[in-house]
Amino acid sequence: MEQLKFGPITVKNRLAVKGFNYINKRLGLKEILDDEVFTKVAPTHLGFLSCFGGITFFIFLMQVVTGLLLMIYYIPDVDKAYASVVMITNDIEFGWVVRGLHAWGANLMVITVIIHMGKIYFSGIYKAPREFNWVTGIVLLNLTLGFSFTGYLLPWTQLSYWATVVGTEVPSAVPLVGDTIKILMRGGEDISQVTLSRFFTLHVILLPIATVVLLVLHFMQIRRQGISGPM
Amino acid sequence: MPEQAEWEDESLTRRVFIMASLTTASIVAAGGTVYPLYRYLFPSDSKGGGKGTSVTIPEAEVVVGGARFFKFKGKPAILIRKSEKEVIAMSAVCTHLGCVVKYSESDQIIKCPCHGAKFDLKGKVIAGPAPKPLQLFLVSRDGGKFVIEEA
Repeated sequence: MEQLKFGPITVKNRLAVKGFNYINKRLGLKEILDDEVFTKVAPTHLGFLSCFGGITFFIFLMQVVTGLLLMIYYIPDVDKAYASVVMITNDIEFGWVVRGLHAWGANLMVITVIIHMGKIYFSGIYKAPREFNWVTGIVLLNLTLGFSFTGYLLPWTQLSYWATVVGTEVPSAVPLVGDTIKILMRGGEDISQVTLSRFFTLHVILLPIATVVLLVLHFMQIRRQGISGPM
Repeated sequence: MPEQAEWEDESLTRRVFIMASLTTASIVAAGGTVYPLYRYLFPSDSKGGGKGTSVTIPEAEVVVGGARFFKFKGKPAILIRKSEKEVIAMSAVCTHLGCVVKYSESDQIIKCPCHGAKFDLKGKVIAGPAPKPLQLFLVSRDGGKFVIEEA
């Protein structure tokens, strides 16, 4: 009888085997899956702390999904933003779950990124030949913080308004270009609709695209260089 | 009593037990994810109300001789004020192919812009391809407001 073997898993269901063979004949998936997934053995020196990169990536995927769901109802308008967030939380069924996952996931993601970074730093994994991956990692850290900063303004509450006032005031302490940076971030002297619109654009378009590109680079380097050996 | 070996055919192997447990857990987890997602995508007013739904419109919003469109259970409906006291409400969805009908104030009839069906102010078909009359609603007055309910 025809059957498929994927590492320890054997598939016997005739329909599943036939269906997979049909696709496999055209795309050659079996070879890739065998080489890259089922016969790949994780090094034994990996422990709990080695999982935080993966955990961060999982949370990022969750942020993408919940973010898309929130965007269905959110309105980036200074008069309507808060009301739309209240509506998502109180009127839309399971809206409070989606918003809660997104807000808590954001906090959690910063924490897991820091733990991931600490593990890489204290184990000396950033050393040759992995210096470039440390650099892409640093950029990803900044993108994560950028997500947090821009996302915080979107509900347009007192808390988010004043946090953005303070946050955009900080770079104005930079000599010479400080005020220019502040006005660039705010889109004017004050926090206004212009600020909300550009934070929204950053949060849902620019930062996600940049993050996906950087993640691809990050993962490609891990693939090329392999998991680092034990200390 | 049968021999031990005969029982062993029926007994679960550890692998089958674990696979069955994992499959069940995966189905529960998938269901627990998909169900909230499904509910999230349908806001509470997207499917219209149930039985006993009513719509209120302030009298001041409808001029005498004029008409006002509104949504009844998520579908277009029209309120026509023939005179100070005489008010009628009916579905504004043409029974032919579902276009939204228009009220013609000059000749006091309802016309469908798509295929020329005409209805009188009781919803009856006067001309055109519409097979059925428009559904009428009950209108009552409640302190300066029109209350529209299903007839």
